Parts: sequence; structure tokens; C-alpha cells
Amino acid sequence: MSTQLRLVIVVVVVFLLQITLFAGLRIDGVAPELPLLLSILISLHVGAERSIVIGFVIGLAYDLALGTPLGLWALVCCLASYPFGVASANLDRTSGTGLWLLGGLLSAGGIIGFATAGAMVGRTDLLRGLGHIVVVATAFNLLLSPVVGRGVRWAFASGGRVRTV
Amino acid sequence: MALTRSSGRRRYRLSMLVLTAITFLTLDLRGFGPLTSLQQGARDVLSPVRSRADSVFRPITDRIDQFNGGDKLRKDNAALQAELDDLKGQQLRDEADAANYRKLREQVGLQDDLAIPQVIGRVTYDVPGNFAPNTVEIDRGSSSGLVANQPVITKAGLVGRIEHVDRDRATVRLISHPDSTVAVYIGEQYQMLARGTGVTSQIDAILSLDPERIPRDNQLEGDLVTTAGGPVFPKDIVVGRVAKVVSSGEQVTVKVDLAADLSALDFVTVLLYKPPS
Repeated sequence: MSTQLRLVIVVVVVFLLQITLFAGLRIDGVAPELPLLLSILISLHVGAERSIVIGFVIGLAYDLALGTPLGLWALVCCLASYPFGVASANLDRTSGTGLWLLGGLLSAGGIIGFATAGAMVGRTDLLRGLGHIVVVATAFNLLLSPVVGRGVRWAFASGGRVRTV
Repeated sequence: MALTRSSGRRRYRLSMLVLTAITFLTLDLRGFGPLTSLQQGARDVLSPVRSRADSVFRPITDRIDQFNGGDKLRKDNAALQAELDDLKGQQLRDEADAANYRKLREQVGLQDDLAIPQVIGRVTYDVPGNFAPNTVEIDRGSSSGLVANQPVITKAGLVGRIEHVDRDRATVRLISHPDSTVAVYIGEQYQMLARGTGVTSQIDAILSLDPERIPRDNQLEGDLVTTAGGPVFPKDIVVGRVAKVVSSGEQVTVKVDLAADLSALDFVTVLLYKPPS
């Protein structure tokens, strides 16, 4: 099975889990933001140039499924995957825990970015309860990060890094 | 040199994607039809998948809910049983009152506002993601005659209105949503505009045509709050009861406890209401 096909499988499974299982399974009313986490984790393997495109596509699909302003999650997933993608060449020296925390930090930044960008285009309702959502969703993302990370590693297993930069 | 070229290409691609996202965003917020149809189409495609997944995952999420709140459930159950006994008696009295009310309306030739075609829908799940609080999804859509802005009620009272509709699914904006407003009558005398507070059990009636007349003490406490009629909600739907009146300077806020339990919705009724032209 090719890397691309495995990656598509991982993206579809994670995406479906987000809009089905995690629509109901929440911690204190808050769900994880797996598409964002997935975009960030994929960027570790493919580098910045491809990760921003993958992040954009994942975010756009998430916007389509959720009915959020179209392009908002696309923008956030694309931007959130950029720093990891750029730095991925040097991240080999970073410890697993460091990567894990960095992923959490980017998740939190992505969620804040989503609500802030939404508010800037008039959706101020996205800012309500933001602090609570950021804390719980980031913790949830950190909790699920090893599982999603394992899926992403499986997708890139045979080919190793599929880097273009 | 090669590194600079690659980083330039990277930035170029990023800028293009950001611009594309902003273009989508602008078009969507301006209500560009094809994008709305695209989103609706995507949700229609995902709808059967989500329904199947719901039947698979529902037992898991229910079990986790049960695990999280088993003790609370037992207490709730005992309290509900006592409430049920009270309500059985109340129901009989209400039925007698309703029969008298209908007879009286017929005699004076008033149209029965609540003789409106209805569709019963089941609340399927929470809307996915974290940025749609105070909204729920139901398993009825345009194929059942639903359109945006139709009122949604339960037997207890007002729930909200239809926000957007897909073929077999619709999103309901609850009355507790901070952007929800409804014109209400308080105690059959005072007409006010009520707004959601983000809390599922209470809304605030804040604007009145005649604020000086609203009593600032707690005379209104316990009074019935019903819809005053308008382009979205027909008249006389029960909203709740006055919890308390809070006045600060010129501003009078009437806190209303909602009659419908918005945190535990299961089945809801959509009124296929067409406002009088």
C-alpha cells in the first residue's frame, strides 16, 4: 500500500472520529480538535511545503462538515502546520516529550487563532468560553496525540520521510 | 542558494493558500450561493455516515456518561419520579383548562395559533466541534418540510428555532444562544425582548417598549412568560417563568427560567409555522 493511500486512510479515519465519536464524547463539554492535531503531526513527516497543502485540505474538509465559515479551519490548519514543517529538519534532535508539548502548544495556538480570526470577520460568538475550550481541547489533543501520532507514523512507515524540501 | 529558493517557494505557496482561504471566507460570509450549496452537499453526503456511526458510538458515549454521573442519575431519577406524580395531577387540570380555552377561542372567533402542522424530530447528537454551543442537531431536514427559522418546541415550552437545514438533518439554535432573541409577554401585561445568555437554563428579558411600567421589585416572580408572536415565533408558546427582576439604573432585566430543559433534549417538535403576512 502506498504512503499516499495510507495517509488518506488515516486522514479519513481521524476526520470521521472527530465528527462522529467525538461529537458526543467530550470532556467537560469540550471535544478534541483532531483535524488540527493531525495537520500538525503530518507536518513532522512531510516538511513545510507539502504540510501546508495537506493542512489546508484537512481544514477545508472540516469547514465543509461543520458548517463553520468556509476557509477558517483551512487557514488555521495550514498556518499551524507551517512552523512544525519548517522546523522538522531540526526536530530529530528534540525529545519525544518536547515534540509532544510543542504539538500541544500549536494546538492551543490554532484554536485561539481560529476563534480570533473568526471574530475578526464578525463571528464574535466564537470567542465565548474560549479559555475553557483552549485548555480542555488542548489537553484532549495531548492525550490523543500518541494515538494519532501512531497512525501518522504508520502512514509514513515504509517510505520514512516524504520530504520535498 | 537552493535553500533560499526553496524557502521562497514555500512562502509563495503559503501566501497563495492563505489568500485562497481568505477568498473562501469572504465569499462564504457574503452568502455566496454555490459555497453554501457545497457545504450543504458535503453535510448531506456525511449525514448517513454520521447516522451509522451514531448508532455504533451511542452506546459507548452513553456508557461513559453513565460512568461519569451514575450517582447523579440515581438522585435525578428519584427527583423526577416525585415531579412526575405532581405533573400527572397538573396534566389533568391543564387538559380541562385547555378544553375550556379552545371553546372560548371558538366562541370569540379567534384563530388557533397552535393549530400548526408539526414535525417531530429526534435530537441526534451535539454539533461536532467546539464552536457551536447552544445548538443541537435533529434528524429531520428539508425532506420533512423544514426550512430555516421555524420554531422548535417541546411539550414543556420553547426550545429555539431552525438555524440551517440539510436534506435529512437540521441544526437548531437554542433559545439560550446569546444571539437568540424572542419577543415575550411577561405575566400577560409586559411585552419585552428576551435574549439568550449562553446558559441553558435561563434567558434575560431586557428590552421593553415601556420600561417604567415594569415593577422593579419581585412582584413578577413566578409569572408565566410566553411568546408575544412575530415573524419567527407564533403567540402563546410557553417560554418559562420569571425567576427574578434585576434593576440597575434605568435598565431592568427580568431573569426567566426556561420551561424546557435544554440540557437534556431528546425529542422536539418543529412547528411548520408561516407567519401572517
